[in-house]
Amino acid sequence: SSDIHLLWQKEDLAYQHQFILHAALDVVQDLAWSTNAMFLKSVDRFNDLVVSVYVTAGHARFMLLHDSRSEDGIKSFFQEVHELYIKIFLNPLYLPGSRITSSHFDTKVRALARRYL
Amino acid sequence: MGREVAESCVDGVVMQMVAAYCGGFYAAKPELAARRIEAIGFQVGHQLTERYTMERPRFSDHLEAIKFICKDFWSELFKKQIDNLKTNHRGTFVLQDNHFRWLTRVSVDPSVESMDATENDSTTLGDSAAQTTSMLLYFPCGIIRGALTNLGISCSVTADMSNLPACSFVVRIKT
Repeated sequence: SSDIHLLWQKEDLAYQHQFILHAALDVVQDLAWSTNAMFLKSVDRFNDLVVSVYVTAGHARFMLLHDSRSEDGIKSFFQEVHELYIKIFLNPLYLPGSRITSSHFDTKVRALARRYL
Repeated sequence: MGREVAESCVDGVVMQMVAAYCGGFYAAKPELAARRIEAIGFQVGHQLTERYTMERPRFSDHLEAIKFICKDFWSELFKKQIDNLKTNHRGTFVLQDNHFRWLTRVSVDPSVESMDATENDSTTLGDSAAQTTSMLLYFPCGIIRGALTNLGISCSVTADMSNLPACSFVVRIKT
């Protein structure tokens, strides 16, 4: 029963993180038209967690929930992810806006996270 | 990201697309063929802007986005910039290309056509040549609309080819 409780706590935390990111989308929507910078640092906070965002000219939004990190690392991470995203986006079989299911993409993003974050 | 495709291959694919939809899939329904060709252009334009704006900050107003299409986007696709940009300052822009690359090898001279084809009325041949050309232009119209939509601007795009090989694209922004 204590194992079940622990599992429930982990799941609850994952949902909370999703909730924080979704809540920050409203902030990004307003910010995106007031500045043309792609990298929007610390657009939102929740306790000791911070949301940083990268918005492309095409208004694709990369959201990162993190604790305190180097801004340069986060920016470089976003720039590399943007390049990966464009490769997916240019695939004529990928429907813009749909979920990216490529395991190759997932592997690459995780590798970039380990390298820059 | 730096890979390139031979221009003759692009020309061939575009011609074949028009031929397939107008002469094959929707032979009896030119309106459907036009919409399908425009939709293909829309997706191409939508995706290309994401790629060409990779290093670029976002555009803060419509004119900046239109200028990007006239300069950088056009140079990437057609190796030259738009020659003339006009606007009525009420949401309509006219982009004029005096030598539109995709039309420079399209012949619409009825007298030339009729010399090759026997037992055909030159007026009919001229009309069908103009029809083919206008079908071909639905593709760049879709490209422009897709590009601008990706940059946050909803619009409709039509082409004016009354002065070949010059071509004007009329962009009407929706509010």
